[in-house]
Amino acid sequence: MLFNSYAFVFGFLPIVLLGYALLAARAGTARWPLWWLVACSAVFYTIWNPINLLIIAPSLVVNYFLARALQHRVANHKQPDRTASAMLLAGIVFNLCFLGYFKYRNFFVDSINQVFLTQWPLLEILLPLGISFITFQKIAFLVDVRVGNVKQFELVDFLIFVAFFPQLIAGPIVHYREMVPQFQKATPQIELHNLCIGLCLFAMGLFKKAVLADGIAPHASSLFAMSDRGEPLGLFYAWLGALAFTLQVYFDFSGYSDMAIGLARMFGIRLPVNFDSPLKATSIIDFWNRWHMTLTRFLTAYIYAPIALHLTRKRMAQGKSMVAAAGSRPAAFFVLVATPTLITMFLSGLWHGAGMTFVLYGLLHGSLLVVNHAWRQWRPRWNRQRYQRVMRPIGFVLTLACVVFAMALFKSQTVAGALHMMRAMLGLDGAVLPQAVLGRLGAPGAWLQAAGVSGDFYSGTGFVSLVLWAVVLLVAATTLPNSLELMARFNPALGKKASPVGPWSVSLNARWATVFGVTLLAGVMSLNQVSEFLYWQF
Amino acid sequence: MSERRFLSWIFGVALGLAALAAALCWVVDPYLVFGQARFAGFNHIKPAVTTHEPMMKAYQASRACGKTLIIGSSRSGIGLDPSGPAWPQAMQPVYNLSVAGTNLHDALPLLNMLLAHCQPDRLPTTLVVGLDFESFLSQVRPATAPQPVANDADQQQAERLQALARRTSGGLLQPGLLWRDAATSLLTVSALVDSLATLRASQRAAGPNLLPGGNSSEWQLQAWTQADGAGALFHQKHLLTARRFAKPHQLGVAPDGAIRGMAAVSAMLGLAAQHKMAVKMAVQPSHVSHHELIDALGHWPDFDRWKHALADAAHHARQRGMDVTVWDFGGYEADYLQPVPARGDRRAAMAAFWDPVHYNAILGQRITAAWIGAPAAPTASSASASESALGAELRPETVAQRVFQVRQARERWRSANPQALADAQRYRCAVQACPGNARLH
Repeated sequence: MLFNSYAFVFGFLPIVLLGYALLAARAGTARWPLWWLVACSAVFYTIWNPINLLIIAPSLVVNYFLARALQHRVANHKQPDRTASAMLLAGIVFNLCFLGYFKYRNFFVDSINQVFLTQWPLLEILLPLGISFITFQKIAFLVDVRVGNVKQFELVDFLIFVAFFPQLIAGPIVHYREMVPQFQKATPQIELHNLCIGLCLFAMGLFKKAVLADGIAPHASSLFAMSDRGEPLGLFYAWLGALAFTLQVYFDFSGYSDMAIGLARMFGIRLPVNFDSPLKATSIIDFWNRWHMTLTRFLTAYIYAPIALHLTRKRMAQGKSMVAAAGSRPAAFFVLVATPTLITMFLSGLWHGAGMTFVLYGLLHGSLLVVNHAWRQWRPRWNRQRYQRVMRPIGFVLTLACVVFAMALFKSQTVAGALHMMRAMLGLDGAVLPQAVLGRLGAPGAWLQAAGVSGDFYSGTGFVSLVLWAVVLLVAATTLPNSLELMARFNPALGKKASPVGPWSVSLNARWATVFGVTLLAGVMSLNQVSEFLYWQF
Repeated sequence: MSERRFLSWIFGVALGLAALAAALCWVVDPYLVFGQARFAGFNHIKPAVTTHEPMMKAYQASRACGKTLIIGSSRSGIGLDPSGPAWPQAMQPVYNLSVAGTNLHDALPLLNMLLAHCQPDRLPTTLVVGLDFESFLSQVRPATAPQPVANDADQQQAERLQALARRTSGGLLQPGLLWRDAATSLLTVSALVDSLATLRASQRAAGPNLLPGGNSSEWQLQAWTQADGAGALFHQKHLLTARRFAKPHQLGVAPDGAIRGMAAVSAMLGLAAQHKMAVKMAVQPSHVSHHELIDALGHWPDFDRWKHALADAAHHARQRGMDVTVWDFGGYEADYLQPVPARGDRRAAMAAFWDPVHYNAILGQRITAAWIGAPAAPTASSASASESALGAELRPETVAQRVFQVRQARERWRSANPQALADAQRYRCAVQACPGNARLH
């Protein structure tokens, strides 16, 4: 079941809210409302395909009992405890193997077949919904238990953490210590205050997904389909297509995150921020600090930091140079910054999808991050203010261009298709515009034709529609406050401090109620459209 | 403002605006779902036909009954005007059931649905069928390849037609899909946008339209021609045709040698026999440049073979007592030979065609007069089949002659236009590997 569906908005959600409120009011224990949420989350997960639950349930059982054993071990033994570490390692390996089988088995087998010309069979494997997110949640939980951040938990606490329906399918990826204490502290009831804030966030998220992302999606899909078929695109179409997809995935995923945060808030739970206007970023480092922030946090904490720490300790033991804030030695930079960055982004790419395009996507972004870090190390040390004044706009344009360029890998079905798109983006396939548009541009049209731009028969109306969509969405994404900034007064999410942001700050008044009424209506009235949820495959 | 009031305001605004939007959509009826009357200057133009034609046609047809029904693709949908003067009085009223992008197989459920609604005293007596050779071409697939699955839109349309056929007149006991159609025609952004587009187009009296007679207006093709010139439309259509119908597309043939698509012709004739309808089939006219492209793609022998099969099918139907004729307008008649204006020329107009396959209503009236207004089909013992300067009837005893005459006309034309075949080959080479040929953009 998707958040942006009639069944969810008019069926599932009201029933869950009503059941939670009734149980909170009448049940003798605070645990019954939690069990209600767990049961509803199971229904939410199962309704798409009941087999999803049959596959995931055993892994949850294994993780629960392993966590129990780990918790007991940590509580009763002094640190360092190698046995506990081994138990943690076993749990991580189990979860990764579980993920690896269902998501990557065919990819690895196919890759081996291609490289070694073998003919290992590919199996039809059902990919459980949200398996990547669930796996990361389980690993994070085991780590938290191991390091003593989780000292006590019950079955319902574990289940609500792993399977809470707002963040079950597509995050945000949360830590146990962020979420469950909120369930334990909060009085289980539906508070109007939380319902207001949650509904506003949900309305904004639904609008972003159902109206904005789904509105531009057909343009992006048709252009990438042309590229995957090897049809000529030209410079303008290629960049417009990649930009359209960048905007689609941003509004799609950030919209879904807003809906998740809003839904959790309806139950009084604050989830962490996942998107912070990433298309406003002025560097690639800044971009990854704003895009899918909980994934970045997870990868930094559990992959980048341990690798960097291990390599640092090794260099220190060898008496070699370390990385400084600026002017480090290249060898130190390569070992202590570039290597962990590339490994982390390689795994990030692989996490996004079982395909070479995603691996290359991760490596490309890894390379861009390395370049960014290197620039920070060895850039000219100009006056800071002047540097910011000059570099911010340049950095913004460069970052946006790099992000859009890399999206060719994210969206294309094949490496060949991605390379075809990238080739066109680099201008190697010439430049074309619809003849219907070129013919109406007058003198500028003549200049463009003199410069080598030719006319083709892509629909002029379609081209203008694409440009309008792209411009409007790009302006919105790069200039307007995001949904969490709008709601900042109400402390909507973890990691977003409560502070008013001036005239855009939402207040509980008639004007904003009207805005949200219109926003909610527009989102609901767009539910009939065919919609793809891009992060479904994760 | 309190939280309770804030929430109430949100839902109040949402519900209030939803009610207004629904009211507007219901009154304007952009998709013809509610059967609202059309008022000039308000909602008489239905531009949503460009995106919702199958649904609109289904609902319009569920309220229409004509003495004569036309089925076919966009070619007959635009070119054959039911209100034209060429239709004999005895055959009126005429209703055009043609739907863009469909073939004969797709037309039958729609026809069935309409027949289910017509009162016994208003059942159609004549079925006019526009046939497109290209719709009988299919991509060669290995026998072990899985059958293509119908897409969601096609499945929904099939369910809709079944539901409309079962629908009681008025009342609440409507099949679920019809309730869903009603809801999406009232409470969706697309319906609201299309309602506003309907108002705007009707006020300006300009826009694509699904006319009350079931045919589509020529407005869109006219607008494109004025904007880009006929040459551009011809060029674009030729490219699309080459991409769609280049080999390995070919005339699908069953193991017993029968042409696969003829099963739909047989089904249509069976349905007509069941309802005691006369059938008038026709190979629809195309511009000469389209014929050249079909030949360049290697399909001309199959085009002739298909005409033979149509003549045989009509003959067998007549032997079973049906009134069936088939005419061939797919030749090199004078009306089809007008040179295409150069690309970029937005002033020169084509007299009979909007693009290589879509003939205009003027030519449509002329072929109607030649074909429908022709004398009743002679009996088996009579002399020759009907002929006119425009088209000829196909009968088993005359089809070979007709095919030969068309080939002769083609050779005469090519002698006078030696560049034509080379032009057609360039379109083929735009989509297939050809030795030494530059890519055609």
